[in-house]
Amino acid sequence: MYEVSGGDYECSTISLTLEISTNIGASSQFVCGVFGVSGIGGVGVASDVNVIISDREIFSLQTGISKKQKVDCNHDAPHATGEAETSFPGYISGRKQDEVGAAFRHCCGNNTDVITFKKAPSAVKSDVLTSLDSREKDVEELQSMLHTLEEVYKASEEERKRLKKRIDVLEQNLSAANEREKTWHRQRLQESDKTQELIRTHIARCDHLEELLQEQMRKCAEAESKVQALEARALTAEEAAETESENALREIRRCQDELNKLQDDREYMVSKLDAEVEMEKKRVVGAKAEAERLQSELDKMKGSMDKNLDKLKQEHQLLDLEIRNNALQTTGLTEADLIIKHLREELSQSEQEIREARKLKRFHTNVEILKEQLASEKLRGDRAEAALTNLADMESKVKDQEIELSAWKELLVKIPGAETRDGVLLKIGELQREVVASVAKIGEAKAEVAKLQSALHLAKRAKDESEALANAAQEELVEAALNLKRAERKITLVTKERDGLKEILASYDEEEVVIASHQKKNQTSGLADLSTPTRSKDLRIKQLEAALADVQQHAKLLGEEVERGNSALSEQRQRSENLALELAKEQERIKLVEREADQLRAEVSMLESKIGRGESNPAATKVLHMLINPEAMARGDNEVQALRAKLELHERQSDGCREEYSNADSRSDSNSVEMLKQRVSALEKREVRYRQVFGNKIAVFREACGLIFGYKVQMNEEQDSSTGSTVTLFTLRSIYSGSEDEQIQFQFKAGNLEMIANEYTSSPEIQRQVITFLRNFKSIPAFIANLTMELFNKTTLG
Amino acid sequence: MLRLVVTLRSSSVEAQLVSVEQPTRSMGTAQLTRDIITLKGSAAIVSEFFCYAVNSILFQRGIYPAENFARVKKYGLTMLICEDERVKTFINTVTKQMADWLETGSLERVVLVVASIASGEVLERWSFNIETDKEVTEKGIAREKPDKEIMTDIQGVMRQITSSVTFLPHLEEPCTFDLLVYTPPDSKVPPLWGESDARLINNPQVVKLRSVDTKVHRVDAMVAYKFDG
Repeated sequence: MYEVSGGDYECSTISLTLEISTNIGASSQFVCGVFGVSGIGGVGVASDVNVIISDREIFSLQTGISKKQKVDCNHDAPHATGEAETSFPGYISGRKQDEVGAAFRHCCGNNTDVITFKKAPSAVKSDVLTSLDSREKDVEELQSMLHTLEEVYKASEEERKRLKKRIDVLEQNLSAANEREKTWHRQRLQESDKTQELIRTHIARCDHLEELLQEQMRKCAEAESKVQALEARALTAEEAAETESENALREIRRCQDELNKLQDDREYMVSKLDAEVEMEKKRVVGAKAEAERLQSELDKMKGSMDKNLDKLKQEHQLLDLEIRNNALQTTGLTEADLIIKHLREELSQSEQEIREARKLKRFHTNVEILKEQLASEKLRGDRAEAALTNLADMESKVKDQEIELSAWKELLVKIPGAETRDGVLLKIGELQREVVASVAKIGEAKAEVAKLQSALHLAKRAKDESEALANAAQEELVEAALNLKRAERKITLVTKERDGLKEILASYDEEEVVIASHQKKNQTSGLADLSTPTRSKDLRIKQLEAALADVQQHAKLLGEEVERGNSALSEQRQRSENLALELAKEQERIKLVEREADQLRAEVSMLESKIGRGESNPAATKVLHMLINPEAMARGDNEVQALRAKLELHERQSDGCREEYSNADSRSDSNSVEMLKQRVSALEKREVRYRQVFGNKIAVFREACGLIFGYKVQMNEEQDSSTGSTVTLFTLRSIYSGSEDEQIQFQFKAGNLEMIANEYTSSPEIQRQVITFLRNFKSIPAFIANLTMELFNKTTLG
Repeated sequence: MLRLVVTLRSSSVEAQLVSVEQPTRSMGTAQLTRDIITLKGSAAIVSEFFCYAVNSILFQRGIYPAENFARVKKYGLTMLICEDERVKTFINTVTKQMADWLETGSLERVVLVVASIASGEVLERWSFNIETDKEVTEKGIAREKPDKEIMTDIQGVMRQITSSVTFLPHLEEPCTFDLLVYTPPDSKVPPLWGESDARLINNPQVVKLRSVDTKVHRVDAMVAYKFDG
């Protein structure tokens, strides 16, 4: 046995142990002498050659050599001290070692060609030398062969190591992949279970939702049937409304006719009233004129009567004085008697006059009555005027009423089924009933809405859940797809690796085939039995392939499951989409219902406000109260008090009226007209007399004024052309004036005295005075005085 | 073992509300107390409630002077009852009649009208809308509701009447009241009763009050008042 070892030297050392067992000691000695390798005892049949390359791989060859020899050599480090197990002092160089190896191989391979160096060296020296040369040549050849074989062997060893390494790595990878596949498979199974459960729950929810949907559909159908019923009712109601509208039109026509009649009556009444008013006006105007005339006459008579009375008084006084004088003078009795007679006559006359005056006074009182009558007539006239204005108001009111009536008629026309006022009330009653019904419907609708809302809520929740589940499933799907892709990638990698390995194995096979052929060639040693590792390898490869096939099958199964899951998911998605569509429809329906509910709520609020106001349907309810209630009692007390107060007031007023009535009675005279006529004639006579007396007096007065103030004044009355009123003109002529034309004219109008310009006043001389006194100082007396002085100076001095 | 004790209420107008015992459980036996309300009993409760509500409104709104009112403990509250003979007689007569109508289910609404004495203008309208359970009136079946709950309802309305002084406008002129009753048009008009107009307020302000529910009659209270603002 040969051992070649160098493991204790640095990293690049190679220990080579060759154990060769040989039966031939001489050959070993020879080898030792030639190669310097010590032989170590021990004989064996089998020979083991172990070549240790580096510290990893051991490739052992079993040979039939039993002799063990150990050779230690240092391959790369010739300087190393070494721990040689042999007694051989030197070291075998790298090349030498190869050569030694080759020699050994050669020796091993040529077991039969052992040369004995101990046979008669001198005798056969030349032969030996030649044979030695040939042997040396053989040895060289063998060495070279050994060298090449070793190189091949080394390379194959390295290749084997590399392949072993790769196989280990691949085995590890494969085991890891197997583990991963197992875990992945487990995960897939769990996921598939979960997805199945989810699908089951989804299906259950879908069934539930479908049931809900069916319920909703059923409700919708019910609602539609209700709507149809309501429409039918509405149609019947419309028909009824049409008939009622026809009736309303008829009623309106009748009302129109009545209105026309009323208008005609009104017009006739208006014309009648106008005529009466006109008559009243005329009467009032006549009464006014008469009253004015009587008033003026009365005033005149009053004035004349007062004057006569004064005169009579004066005369009476004079007579008294005369009588006294006569009595004092004590003239003759006859004269006195005569005078007394005369005086008595005058006295009687005066008494008569006094009586007349009394009569006149009574007449005056009668005039007062007439005045009152006049006042009453005036009041009547005022009333008539007021009635006229009232008539105008009434006309306007009537117009308003007509407008209102027309508006009501229009309204009546607009209101279907309301012909008359009673019809309107009935209609309102019907509407209220409808409102009540609608309130009930609102309640139902509200309940339905609440139900729908709850259903919607549930559907929404289910939808959300299903969406969440769908999302989760989708995510899972995506993950599964990713995993699948990863697995596929892995599978492809594994297949690639497998192919690679197969190729490598094929190359190994080839190499083995080569080695086997080589071994067959050699046939020297019993190292031919190399089939066991290849078999194990094949087995392992087969196992690996089988595992790979299983894994692939698993992957396929998983892929199928994933596909199934995908299809289920797509189905679910479709279902969820359908559900979402249905949900949207339901939401729209709910919106509609909500809108209706809002409308109904508004109606409800309106009705509630009506109820709050206390309105009720008079056709359906009756409002009762106790006839003797606190309000009536309180109001009765209040009324009693008010009536008492009124009674007192009336009593007081009636007392006053009674007094007035009695006064009025005393004043009334049945024969007043006759009396008045008599009085008027008497007064006329007296007036004539008074006129004469006053005319004389006025003449005296005017003459005296003319003499005192130096002007003769003439008074004339003229009608003003512009206004139609009477204007009093005063013409003044100075007693110192030279001609008739020198006169000044004044106009007395509404309490103002204005000078009228004429030729004389517009002469420069007078004009200056006019400017000075009238314009600047506005004094007529100063102007007159100055003019008098001027004229006086002109006529006397100048 | 469950034993059931049922208490039936009398139908007299002076029906007293008694606090209800809570269900008690002792020594393995449970005693449950329930209150069954008949039509008569409900009518009595509601008419009595009207009596007290009207008196309370009269006091709170100052329709009659405060010295005319006497204090009485009722519904767990101190109620005020008018002692004016005329008013007392009027309210008693009306509530008796109301109880009759309530028993037949023909009372739809009771309105207390507060009006000015001088002008007769309606200033306030206290409306009590009554909903009667038709099933009870037609079939004569009874309903269940604890007295305590009814009393709580009535207390709530009474408290609201008391607190209504805070939002109702002050009655500046002397006022009086009348009780209007809404019945179906076919109902008989009793002697001393007559038809009236609804005595509505133009454009009123309405405040809804609480309700009293006996499960047979439901009374929704509200007040409408004249609002010049």
